[in-house]
Amino acid sequence: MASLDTQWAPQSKVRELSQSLILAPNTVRSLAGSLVLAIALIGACAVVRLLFDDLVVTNLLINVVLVVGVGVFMGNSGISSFGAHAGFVALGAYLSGLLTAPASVKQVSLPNAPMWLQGIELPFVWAIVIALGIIAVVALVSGVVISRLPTNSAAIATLGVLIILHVLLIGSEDFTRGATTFYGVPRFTTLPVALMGAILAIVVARLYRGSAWGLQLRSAREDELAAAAFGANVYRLRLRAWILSAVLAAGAGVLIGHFITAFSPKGFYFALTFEYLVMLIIGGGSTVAGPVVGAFVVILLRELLRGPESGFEILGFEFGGLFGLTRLVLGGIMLISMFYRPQGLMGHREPDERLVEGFLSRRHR
Amino acid sequence: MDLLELSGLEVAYGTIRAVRNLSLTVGSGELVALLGPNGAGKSSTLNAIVGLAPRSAGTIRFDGVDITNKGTEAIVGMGLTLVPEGRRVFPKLSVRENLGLGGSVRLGRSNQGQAKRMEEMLSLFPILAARLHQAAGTLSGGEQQQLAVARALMSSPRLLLMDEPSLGLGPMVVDTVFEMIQELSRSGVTILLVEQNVRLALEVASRGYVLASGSLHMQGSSDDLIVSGQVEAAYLGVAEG
Amino acid sequence: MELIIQQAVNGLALGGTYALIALGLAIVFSILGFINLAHGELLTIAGYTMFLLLGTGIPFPARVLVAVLFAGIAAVLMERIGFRPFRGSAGVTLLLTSYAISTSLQVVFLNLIDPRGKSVQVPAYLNTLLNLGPVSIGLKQGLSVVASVGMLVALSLFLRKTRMGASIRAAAQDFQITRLMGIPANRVVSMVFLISGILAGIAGVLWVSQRSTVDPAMGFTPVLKGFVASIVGGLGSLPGAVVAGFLLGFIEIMVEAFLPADAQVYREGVVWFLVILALLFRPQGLLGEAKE
Repeated sequence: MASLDTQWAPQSKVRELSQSLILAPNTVRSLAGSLVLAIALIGACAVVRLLFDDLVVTNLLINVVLVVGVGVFMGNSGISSFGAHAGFVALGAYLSGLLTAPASVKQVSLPNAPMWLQGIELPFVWAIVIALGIIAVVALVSGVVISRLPTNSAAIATLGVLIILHVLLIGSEDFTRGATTFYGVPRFTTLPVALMGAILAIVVARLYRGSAWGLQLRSAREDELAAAAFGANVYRLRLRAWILSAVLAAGAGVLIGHFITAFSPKGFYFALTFEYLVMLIIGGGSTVAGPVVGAFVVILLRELLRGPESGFEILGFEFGGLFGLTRLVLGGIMLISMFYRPQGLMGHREPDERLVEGFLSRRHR
Repeated sequence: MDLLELSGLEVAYGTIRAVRNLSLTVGSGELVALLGPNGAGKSSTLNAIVGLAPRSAGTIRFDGVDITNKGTEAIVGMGLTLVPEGRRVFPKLSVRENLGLGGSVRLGRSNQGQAKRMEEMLSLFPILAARLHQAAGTLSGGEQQQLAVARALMSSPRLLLMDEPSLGLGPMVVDTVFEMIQELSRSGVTILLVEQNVRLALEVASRGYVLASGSLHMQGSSDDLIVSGQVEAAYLGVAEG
Repeated sequence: MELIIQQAVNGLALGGTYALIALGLAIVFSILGFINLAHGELLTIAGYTMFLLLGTGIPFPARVLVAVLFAGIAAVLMERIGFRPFRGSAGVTLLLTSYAISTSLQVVFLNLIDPRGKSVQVPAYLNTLLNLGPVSIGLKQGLSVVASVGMLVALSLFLRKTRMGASIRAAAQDFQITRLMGIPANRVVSMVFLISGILAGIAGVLWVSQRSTVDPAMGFTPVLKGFVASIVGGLGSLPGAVVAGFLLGFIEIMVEAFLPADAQVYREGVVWFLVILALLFRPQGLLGEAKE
C-alpha cells in the first residue's frame, strides 16, 4: 500500500523519536535538517579556511547570520526588505558597542554622553541580551506598521525604516559620534564565536520555517485570502517573522561590531542592503540553506575580484583598476540568476528534504 | 476548404498540458460549439488559436495559412479575433475608445473607415450608442458583453472566437446574448463558440466538439450530441484521455 | 510671508521635478508591473550629455533638447536589451533586474568618465530674479515649474487624444487584450519607455541645473524620491504619481525651511516618517484603488 506521506522520513521513525524526546514531529525534522546544514556549513568553512584565512571565514559566517535573518522575513512573507535589516544590523552594532566599550575610551569618544553610559562596561553576553532586547522593541514598533501594509507599501516602509534609523544614528551624535567613526569596541568575535552564531541562526530559522507559524505565513504569501479563511492571522504572522528576522539581523550586527571594532552609519546603508539582497536572490529565499549558499557565493566572489578591481597584470601589461568591478559582476550574476533560476540556487526545498524525498521515491519504485 | 483547421494541437504551460492532440475544423459560415466542463481546456484552445497561449505541438491553419507560430497581432490582422472570457473590456476607457481600438487593426489609419464601421456597430447595438462616452467599467455585465462583441466585430473578422459569453450573466441577459449570437451567424459571420451551457450552445450551433481533461471526448452534429446523452457523461466525470 | 511664498515656489520647482520622475516610473509600472530603478541613470545620462556638449558652442536650448532626446533613446535601448528578455516575469524580478542595470550603468560612468563630479554650467541668465510684487523668484525655479507642468499637460493630451495614447492606456489596463486589438505589444512598450525617458531627461536637465554638477551616482536619490512618490500616489495611478511628486517636493522644502537648525540633520527622517504615516492612513496610495 503506497504511503501517503512522501514528505519526509517514514512517519513511524519520526514519530518514535519525537515521542521519546517529547517534541513535535516538525520540530524534530527541523532540528535534523539544521544538523545537516550545520555539518555542511562547517565543512564548507573548512574548505574556505584552507583557501583564504580566518578573517574571510569569520566575515562569511557573520554574513550568513544576516542573510538567514533577512530570509526569515522575506522568504516566508514574500515582502521585500529594502534596507530595514541593514538598519537593524547597525542598531545591533551600535547598541552592543556602546554597552561594552571601555569607559576610558567612551569618555574621550563620547564626551557629551551621559555619565552612566560612559561608565557602563558590560560583558559580551549581557550586552547582547540587552541590545537584542531593545531591538526587539524597535522591531515591534516598526513591525506593527509594516505588517499591516499591502506588499508594495510595506516594501517602501522598510526603506523608510532604514532611512529613519540611519538618520537617527547620525543625529544622536552624543551617543554615536554621528557620521564619524565609532571606535573602541572590544574584539569578541572570533571564528568559533561567529560559527556558533551562524549555527544558532540556522537552527532558529529552520525551527521557524518548519513551525505552524512559518507554514501559515508562506501560505498567506501565496494566497492571502485563502490563508485567512483557514484561520491565519496574517498580520500577527508577519509581525512575528519581522521581529525574529530583525533580532537575527541585529545579532549579525553585534557580531560585526565586535569584529571590525570601528564603524560608522554609512557602512550599514544601501551598499549593505544591495549585498544582502543579492545573496538572498542568488541563494534563494524559500529555504534556510539558500541564504547560506548565497552568502558563500557572494563573499567568495568578492574575495576573488579584490585583486582585479585594484588593478592587475597580464603578460607584463598593467591594467588600471576597474572601479566597481565587483558590483558589476554581482549585478550581472544576479541578473543571470533571476533569469535562469528565479527560485535561487537552493530552490524551494531544503537539501535534507530533497535527500529524503529522493530516498523515498526510490524505495517506492 | 475549412476556414479553421486544428491538427493535433497541444497547449502546454510548462509541464502542465492543458490541451492534448486536439483536431477540429470550422467551415466558412458555420457556428460550431466547443463544450466541456471546467478545466477541460476550452479557453486554452481559443487563446492558443489567437496566439495568447503557448502552442507546444500540432498545427493551426486559418484559411489555408499556417498560423501556428504567428504572433497575436498578425493573426488578428488576418481576420481572426477573440471575444475573451469575462469580456475584458478596457474598464477606464470609454465605450467609444474601446470600439476604436477594436477597429484599429484592420482599418488602420483610415478615420473614415473607422467612423463608418463604428456607426454600423452602434446601430447593431443601440445600448452602446446610448453609453458611448461612459467608461466601459461602469456598464452592466450584459452591456459589457455586447461591447466586447462589438469591439471584436469592428475589425470585420472572418472568424470570431467567443469564450463563454454567458459566464456571470443572469438568465434573461444570457438569452439576449444568444439571440445576438444567432443573428451574427445568420448574417454570415463564422463563429467558434466555447460554452459551458450545453443547452444554449447546441441550440444555436450546427456542430459541436466535447472536450474533457484536455482531450477530445466526442464530436458530432448538434442533434446527435443532444440525443446521445453522452455529453452529460463528459461533464459528470470522465476517465483520463 | 514672502519667505513662505518663496519657499513654496522652490517647493513646487522641486516637486515638479519629482513629479516628472514619478510619472516616468508610474507609466512604466502601469504597463509592465515593475518600478524601473535604472530610471535614475536616465537622468544621469541627460546630465552627462549636457556636460559633454559644453564646449561645442551649441546654444543652451539645443543642448537641452539633445540631452532629453538621448535620455529617451537610452530608455528605449534599456528596455530592448535589459527588460525584454524578462517580459512576463514577476514584478520583483524586474525590479531587481533594474537595480542591476542601474548599478552596471553607474560603474560604466565611473570608469568611462570620472568618479568625481563634473561641473555643468547653465547660462547665467537663468539665475536672474523675477520680481513679482513682493516676491522674488529665480528664473530657473520658475522655468522648472513651467517645464514640469507643461510636460505633464502635454503627456496628458497625448494619452487622451491620440491613438497611440489610447493604446498605451489600454495596455496599462489589460496588456494581453491590447494585443488582440492588433496593436503590436513591442511598439507600445517601446513608446512607453521613450516617454519615460523623455520625462527623465527633462528631470535630469532640471536636476543638473540646480546642482550644477553631474556625477555617476546622482540618479540614485531622485529615483528613490520618485519611487516613493509613485507608491504614495498609488501604484498604477498616473495622476497620483504627479500629485504625490509635487507633495513630496513641497514637504521636503517646507521641512527644510521651517525645521530648527539643530534638528536639520533629522530632515530626511522626518520626511520619511510622514511618508509612512501617509501609507498607514491610505495603504493603497493617495489616488490608488482600494483593494477589497
